[in-house]
Amino acid sequence: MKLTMNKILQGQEEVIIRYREMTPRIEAIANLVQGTELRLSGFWQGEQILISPEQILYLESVDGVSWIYLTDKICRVSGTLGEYAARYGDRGFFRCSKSMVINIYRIERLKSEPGNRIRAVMENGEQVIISRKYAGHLRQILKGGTGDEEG
Amino acid sequence: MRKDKLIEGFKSYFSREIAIEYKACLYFFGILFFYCMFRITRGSFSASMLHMAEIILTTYLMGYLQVYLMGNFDEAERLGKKECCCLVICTVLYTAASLLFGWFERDWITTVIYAAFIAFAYWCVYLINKIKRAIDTENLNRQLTKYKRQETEQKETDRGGKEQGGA
Repeated sequence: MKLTMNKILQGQEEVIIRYREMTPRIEAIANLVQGTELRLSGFWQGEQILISPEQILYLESVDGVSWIYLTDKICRVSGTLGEYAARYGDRGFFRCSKSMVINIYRIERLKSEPGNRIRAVMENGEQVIISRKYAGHLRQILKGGTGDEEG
Repeated sequence: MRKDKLIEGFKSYFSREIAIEYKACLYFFGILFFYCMFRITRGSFSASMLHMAEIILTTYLMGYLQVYLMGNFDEAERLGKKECCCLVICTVLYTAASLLFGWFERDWITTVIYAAFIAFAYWCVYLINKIKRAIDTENLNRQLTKYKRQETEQKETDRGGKEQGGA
């Protein structure tokens, strides 16, 4: 990708993106410029890193500690699952059990299970069972409703 | 918190009761059909109300047994060893009830056919549930694809609007 930068002495600063096709990379750049990128701060191998919500497959709480699962790494974060589900709900984050929040956009496929439960197969192959209690909420979200009354 | 747990507990209990009700009705109509056919073959066009009451009570009891002790085997993902064992046990119990209450005049040939009918009914219900879930899976994945696509299109539209506004 070619980068052109021009220094201006007056006028409003502006970033123009010229693209042939919208790709996740261009989308990420646009979000960064717009300041809409709500990144999360997490710890991986003792280092603090910034994580884009789109990168997250799911979050899990183990013994009161929240973990973020990415395609290639697992990071520890300080917030609670409830906070993340509320903050990124409009970005497809869905509370699928007491100890788990999944990113709907990173679900590869769904499978209807006995007892009105749903099995979600994530992009990394991880399988998450969504209980009857939360499955109704997911169905509502997929149908186009927010499902807030159940959340 | 405690109230929430109570509500959740009640919901769970209520949904199990509905499942039992559904099963009882389903198997009752199956057995009633067989019973009526048996009566017709015997030249009778009337059914005993006592037998009908016994059948519905038996199906309710079997429903409780299936849901609380046998893990709802007719709704299982696959018919494994455990599910087949449960199917045989329930078939034997239904057959025993028919002999005990004399639904088919304790005729051995009819009883054997009835046992086969019950096992077949269980297999049909298992199959129907499996097909129902397959259709549901298809719908869920269609909705998931649509959900993902709609969101991407929305982002594109928003961005397009901003681009126009900027120009």
